[in-house]
Amino acid sequence: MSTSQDLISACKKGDRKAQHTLYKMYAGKLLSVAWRYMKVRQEAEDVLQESFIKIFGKLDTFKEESSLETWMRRIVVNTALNHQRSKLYMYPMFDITDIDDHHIPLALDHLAENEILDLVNDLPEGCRLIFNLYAIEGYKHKEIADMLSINEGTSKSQLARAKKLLQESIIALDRHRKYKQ
Amino acid sequence: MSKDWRERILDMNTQPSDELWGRISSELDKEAQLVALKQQNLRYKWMAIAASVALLISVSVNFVANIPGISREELISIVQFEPESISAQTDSKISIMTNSTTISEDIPTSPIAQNNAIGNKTPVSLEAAALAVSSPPVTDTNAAYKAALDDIRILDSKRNIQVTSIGKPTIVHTPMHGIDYIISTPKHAAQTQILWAGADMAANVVDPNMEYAPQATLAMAATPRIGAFGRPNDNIKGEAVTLNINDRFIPEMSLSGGIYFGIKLNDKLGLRSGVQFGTNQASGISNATLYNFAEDKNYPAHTTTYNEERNSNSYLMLTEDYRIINKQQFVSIPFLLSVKIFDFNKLDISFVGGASTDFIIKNEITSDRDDVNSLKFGIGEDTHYRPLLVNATAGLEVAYELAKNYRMVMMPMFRSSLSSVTRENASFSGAPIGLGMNVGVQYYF
Repeated sequence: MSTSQDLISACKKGDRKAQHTLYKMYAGKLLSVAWRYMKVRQEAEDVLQESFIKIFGKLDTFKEESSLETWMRRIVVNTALNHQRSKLYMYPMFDITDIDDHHIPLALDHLAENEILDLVNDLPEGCRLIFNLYAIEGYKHKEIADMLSINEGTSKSQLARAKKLLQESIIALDRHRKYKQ
Repeated sequence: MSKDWRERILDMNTQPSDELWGRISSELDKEAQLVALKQQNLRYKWMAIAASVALLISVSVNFVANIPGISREELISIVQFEPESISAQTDSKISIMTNSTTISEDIPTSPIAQNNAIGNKTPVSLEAAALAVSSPPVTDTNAAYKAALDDIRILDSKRNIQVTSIGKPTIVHTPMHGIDYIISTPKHAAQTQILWAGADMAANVVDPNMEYAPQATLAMAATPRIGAFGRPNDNIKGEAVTLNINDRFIPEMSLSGGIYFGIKLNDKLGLRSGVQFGTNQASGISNATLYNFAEDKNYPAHTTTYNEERNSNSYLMLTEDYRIINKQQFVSIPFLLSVKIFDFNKLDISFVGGASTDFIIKNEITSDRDDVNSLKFGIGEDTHYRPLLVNATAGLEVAYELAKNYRMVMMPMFRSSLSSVTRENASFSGAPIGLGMNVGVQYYF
């Protein structure tokens, strides 16, 4: 989805109609992003609201080095992480060295989106965040470490743990399906 | 991990609740109002800070309570005499080159003249008992001759001869009229004397026996004498300078200018500050006397020894009058409170008062004569001068609204230094007092 320069310019000037148009174009996708981090829809909408205020306020600083959507998605993720930061303190992430990420198969393709999200949401808080950031958003471990103020090793180990837990969940889910059939 | 599931997740679209945009829009409105309010506050703040910005050019007359920054001792060092050009000198004749002409004088060889060459300028007619006392010049002389010698200092004086009679302790004061020229340069001198007894001599003879009066009369008859002498270079061993300046310098008008920024506290009160550049200026008339001693001495001016000896053992040169100008330049930072007294339609009158700190940046003494050098005194710990003066300031501001945001301002102001321009240990002091008229245009928001 591309956004015309005219629309961006109008949004920069504070044109409320243009802002509404931009909102309508991206609100659905961005709410999905926020929801993956916040679990609860109401909290995700709060994050989205705050994110759009930031987006309209900082639009002047948007340089077209990336797409507008990528830029906005980043704002939503950061806003969500800010909301989660206090919770992250409650779930300290330790280096887990006994899990080998590469040997864990992850078969999610046969699952529906909602099933995948349900499985991800069931992950412990730290694992869920890292999985979202790495496996879905595409951040590098170094970037994640900087964003969450953790070690790169912690990010890697949490990802491995998430994948292991997910794989176990997938197997359990598949068994349950077979049993039902 | 397969891209498929990831792309499906990234493409997920969840419609927000209907009221979300309303909340965002409302928040944006608040933000916009906040921004506007901040901008407005900022503007109000600037308006308050720059309630009045005035560029004032002031003309001020500074009345100086005492001579600021001048002491006789220090002034002496500014006097520099240009040496005359000796074009030729033989055993019997000396030629002195001036700007306009060459003067040739015979060098006398008589014993009396040689005696004078050492420096004794006592009138020769009454050598035994006479003491010369200088008095202001009264006798005019040949104008052309004076003009020719203009570049050489001329002492033109009438001398009163004080006669002490021998044998009886009766003192007879006899005025003596005459012309006595000493043409003197740092290296050479020539003297011409024509003395005669005045008509009032007889009337002033108070000796009851009249015993010595005829002797005095005879002495007068023998007095007329014309001579000139050359002064050998090696007879000049020491010198001293004294200055004859007016006790009080005359204040002069000086310009100052500056820029003021004001804050309006309320409808009546305001504060203002700024920077002003100004000058205290005063001038005095002075001349200098240079004494050249035949002995190897170098006297500071106005010492007792010097005063005692200069009459009997020196040549002297008197410069023409010259004007000495003392300028003190300062950068002033005023802190003023204004109180509006009257508020007419377009006319406001306010009382303005406060203090200003003057940072003295230059203290300069100059002369209008080429042969008197200028002198700049340093400001700081090692001099007599204070680097900073604090002034009390009061004035009345009359402001007339010329156009929107512009006012014409006239403000007579009085300022007085709270301290002397010099430190406590200085031998002189003076606190400048200024009365000025500030005229300017004021721009206000």
